[in-house]
This record gives sequence, C-alpha cells and structure tokens, in this order.
Amino acid sequence: MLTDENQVLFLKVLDEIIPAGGVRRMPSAGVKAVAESVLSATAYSPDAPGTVERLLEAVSTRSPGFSELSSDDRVTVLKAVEMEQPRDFAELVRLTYMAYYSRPEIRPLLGVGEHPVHPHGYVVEHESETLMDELTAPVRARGAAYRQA
Amino acid sequence: MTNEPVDVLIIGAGASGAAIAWSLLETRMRILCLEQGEHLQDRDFPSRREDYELSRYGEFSCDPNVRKLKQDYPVNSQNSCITPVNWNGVGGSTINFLGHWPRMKPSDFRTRSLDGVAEDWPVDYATLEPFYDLNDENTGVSGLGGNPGYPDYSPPLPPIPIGKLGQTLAKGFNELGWHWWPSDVAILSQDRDGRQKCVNAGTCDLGCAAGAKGGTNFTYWPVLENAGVELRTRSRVREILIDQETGFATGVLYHGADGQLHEQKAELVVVACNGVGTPRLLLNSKSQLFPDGLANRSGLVGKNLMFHPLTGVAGVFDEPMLGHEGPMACSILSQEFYETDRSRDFVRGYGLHSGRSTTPMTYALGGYGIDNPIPWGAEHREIMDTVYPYLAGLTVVSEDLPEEINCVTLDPELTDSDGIPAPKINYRLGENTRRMLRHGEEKATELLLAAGAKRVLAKGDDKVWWRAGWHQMGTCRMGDDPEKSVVNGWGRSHDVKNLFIVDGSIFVTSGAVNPTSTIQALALYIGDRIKTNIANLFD
Repeated sequence: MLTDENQVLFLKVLDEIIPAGGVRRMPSAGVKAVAESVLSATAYSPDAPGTVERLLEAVSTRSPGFSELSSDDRVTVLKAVEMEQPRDFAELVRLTYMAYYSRPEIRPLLGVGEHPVHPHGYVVEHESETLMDELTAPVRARGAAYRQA
Repeated sequence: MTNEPVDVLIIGAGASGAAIAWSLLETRMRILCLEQGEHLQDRDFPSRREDYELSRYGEFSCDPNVRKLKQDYPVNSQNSCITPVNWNGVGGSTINFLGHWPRMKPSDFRTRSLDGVAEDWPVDYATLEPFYDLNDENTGVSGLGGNPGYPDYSPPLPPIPIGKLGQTLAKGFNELGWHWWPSDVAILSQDRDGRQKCVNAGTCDLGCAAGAKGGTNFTYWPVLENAGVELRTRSRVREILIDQETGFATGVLYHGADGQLHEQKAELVVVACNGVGTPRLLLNSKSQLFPDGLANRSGLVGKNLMFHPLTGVAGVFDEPMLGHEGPMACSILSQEFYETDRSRDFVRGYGLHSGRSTTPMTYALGGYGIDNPIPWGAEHREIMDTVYPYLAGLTVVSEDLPEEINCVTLDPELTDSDGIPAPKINYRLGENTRRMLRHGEEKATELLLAAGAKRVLAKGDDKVWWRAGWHQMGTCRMGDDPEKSVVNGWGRSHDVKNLFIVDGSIFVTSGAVNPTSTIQALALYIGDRIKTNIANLFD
C-alpha cells in the first residue's frame, strides 16, 4: 500500500515510462488504473509492490521534488535510477507495459480491436481464387522447387 | 480408477499419443493413455477472456518455468541458448502451438546421401506420404494445392486468408523470383465436424476456444474417448518397469490424481512425451538390465537434441499491415533457401515464415517468445505510434543438425512436484546454423525491401529467440543400426521389444519446418506397422 505522497509520485513516474501524445494522441500510463494493475500484478511478478516501493524510494532520495520537475528532468532522474537499479527498473517497465496495453480503450488507438476474443475475432476476407492464381502464377511457372530423393 | 492390465499403455496425450491411439483403435485392444496434465474444456482457454494477453505471461505461458503449474516439470536451461516450451495436458503442445503445418521434404530424409551430413532416415517421404494425407484429413488442414515445393498433394480445405501482410510479402517474393506459397495450417478455413472455422482472433497460443485449430483435444481425442480409449489425467509416469528376466516392459509406475504411486501393467508401452520428456523418462527408468537408462544400450538416449533456431526481421511499411488479424504464425512460407546450395557457406537450409504481427502488449514486451521490451519514454511512444502498426515480419527458421554435445540429461538436484528429476538441457548453436541464420537475415532484409518496406529492423547479432524450443527432436532417433539409434524404422526400441517411441525424439534430422505434421504422420505409420506385424510383434 503506497502512501498518498508515493501514489502521486508513482503516477508521475508512469507518466514518463509511457508518455502521452504522439501522432496518435495516446494517453500516458500515469493513471490510477495502470498504477493499481502494476501493484497487484503479483501473478506475473511476486514482488511487484516491493519493486515499486524500492524504485520510488530511489527516486525520492535522488530528487525530493521529482513531481515538480519538467518532463526532461524527470527522465534524467529515472535514467539515473535505472542505472542504479536495473533489475527493478526493468521489471517496472515490463509490468507497466502489461498494465497499460491491457486497457481496452488503448488498443483501438493503435488500430487493434478492443476485444478480439472468441467467438468474434476479426473479419478477414478470403482472397479470391483469381487473385491467388495471379499471385502464385510466377511460382508455379518456375516448376518444381524441391530435390528428388 | 482401476489398474487392471491393459494391452496398450500410451504415455502422453499430445500430438503423437493421440495419433497412434487412433491408429490402433481398429485392433480392439484395450488402450489406456496416462497424461500428467488436465483435460481443459474450451471455456477454460484464455482466448475467451478479455485479459487474454496477460495469461501469456502467467498461467498460459508457453514456458513451463514461467507457468509452474502442478503438472509442469521444470527444465534447467542454464546451459542452453534456447529453452524448451510446451503444454502439459490433453492435447499436449497442440493446445498452445500455432498450427503451422508444413511437411518435411523428400530431401530431409536423405541428408547423408545427398549432403554428406547427419544420417539418412530409415523411412522416406514416399512411405510417409499416405500418412501425411490421412492425418491432414483427420486434423482438418487448410492450404492451397499445387505447391511446387513438394511432390503434388492437396490439403483437404481451402487456404485461410493470407491477408494484406501476406499479399504484400508475396509480391516481394514475386519481384525477386523466389519461391513462396500460402502456408498449410492445421486451422479450419471452413466449419467442419462441429468445429468452428477460424475467427482470426490471433490468439492461437492461448488455446483455440473455437476448435478451429487442430489440437488433438478437438481432433483425435473426442473420437478416441467415444470409442472407449481410457484417458487418465493428472497421472504422471515416474518410471517404465522391466522384467529383468525377459527384458520386456511390464508397465509403469505413475503418480495418480489421488497423490499415490500406482503400478499399471501393460503388454505394450508407447512413449509419446516429446523430445525432452521422453529421454527424461527413459533416463529415469534405470534397472540392473539398463543401468544407463531404459533402451539406452546405444548411449544415444538424450543425445542429438535438435531445435529450430529462429531469428526475425521486420519491415516498416507505409500502410498498416493488419498483421494482428489472423492466425499468429501462418500466412505464407518461402522455401527458396531450403535445399543445399554448394555455393553457400553452409549445408542444408531454412525457411522464411511470414509470422503475422502480434498485439500491442506482446510487441512492447519484445515479441512472442522474446524477453526484450522496447525502450520506455519518448522512444516508446514513437515506436508504438509509427512502427508497430506498419510492421510485416519474416522469421528465419533454420534446420538444426544433430550433434551429440546437444543433449538432455537428468538434473542432479532439480525435480518436479513428485520428486522426479527434471531435464537438464545442454545446447549451443553449431557454426553451420550460425551461418545459415546470417544468410537468412540478409535474404529476409532483401525481400522486405523488395516488398516495399521503408526500413528494416534486423537484430544483426548472433542471438536466437530464447523461447524457440517448441520443436524438440532427435533425442531417441530411429535407425536400422542398434549402435547408432534408439528405435528401429517403425519406432520399436532396439533393446526392449514391446516398447515403442512415437514423438519427435525419434527424428533423425530436423528439417527446417514445424514438425507436428511429420510427428503425427510417423505415429500413424508406426501404428500401421504395429498392426501389420501384430502376429510377430515382439520377435
């Protein structure tokens, strides 16, 4: 369980791991739902809460005013923490990606269906026989492509 | 549960165990299959759940060392650049395999004669061809007939869509004048036998809830159970027992669902535990007659382990490639560089497989089977926005030559939950494979540029995919010479006349194609030989 202060700090850290913006105007990972998912991801990382707490402590120690820094300065701090605690940091990145891309509202922004699970999936048209004939004609024209044995 | 003696005891309910059980049905022998895992129902598969992607990193990981389920055995892969992956349960690894279904080629069975490497198989393509056809029919294989890469045959169902990604790459292959063909897949393009055709969800590795993918849980097992084959799940075989006088197998000791150790007697024992599980079981079945492990007088049980080392190259195109729509691994396959060409610096060859792209989470975490997440921060945003949707990739799938140094042994300390020693993998890439993979990366790059890619993302190093150990072959190879092989040309142990092995461990060479269609064709062939020789089976 994070303190109120650390909850704010954690969201700021997540904001930099997956920042908002870009050509697709994506939201950042710094939202409560992602933070909670990371902290509760013990099925995928048994020490997930400990990993987060150790990193937040490192961030606070290195930069007590982290939340007030510019984005560029926060990234500088996080890169220093990453150098100091590479395993914990890599684990946080992994869990953040898992939590962020689990959110159904994120996937359509990247052109992927919200919930493509069975029994719905995606509609993909079968190529016509004519198209397949055209595409494979050059391959067939070259003849057998294996060795007799 | 009774432990009455049976005629045929099959260990493992995966690809090969199911196929040989089906073949032996007509003998009316009493058949029992012991399976260490569960029989999952389709509702249990993550492909019906909204959080399905997360399960790829937990309880439905392809890696038993990640899943750590009760039925899984740990694998010590510290001395390997590839770790074995699998599924333990009814269906075996056909539960989470990707359904790519190419056959081996005629030359794959004659590498010694044609290329001077490895050994020839004691069977050839022509012998197996009717069993490939039969298995394709039983499985429901989709594909396009007339592939010039093979002697003529036609899959029973029309091909699945190759999609925008496949069409784009196909045009690139045509531009260069290279071979390609729509992939044969064990995935239904039409509804069949109560199974739903593929819905293109891209969740093949998470258990196909529609039954479109030809896992033996949907193909062979319903038929087998209806016909009275007994399937005993949560039953892990510890040891195969031997009569020390006759040298015949008498049955097995297994840990049952009740947590107790049981003895099951049988007239004939069939091992179908894959290229890692089978040598593990034989090496753990030591006795006075077989102090180095059962059926191991040749010393080759566990030796000559082969995988298919993989690497990937991706191109970034102008338009979204929609690679997430459709079966994960299967669109088109090129075998332009499959056969030996003496002008190259390696023998044998490789395939270029057009894997479709994956979901955002899996891509961000490094890709399927890879633990190497993409960068965080601004670079992450850039990659996901402007690279991920536009990707089309090729996987270089190389033939692995057998080498005794690559092997499965028993770990002296690590055990499964029943205290049975875990397998230990010693494996490294041979120089021939390294050269092949480098060549493959170059050719894949050339192809992607010809297909219109604006830039190409290649690793450019010697590393192969860590979780590429799907295809486990060679560790109990077949052959005519008992000094140089573990089983004969129809799967019978040279040393134990009523012991058969039917899984990928009996492969002599690996080819450069996914092995399941060949594993099952071989199992059907062995079943056929057992029936043919039934009168003097143990002579």
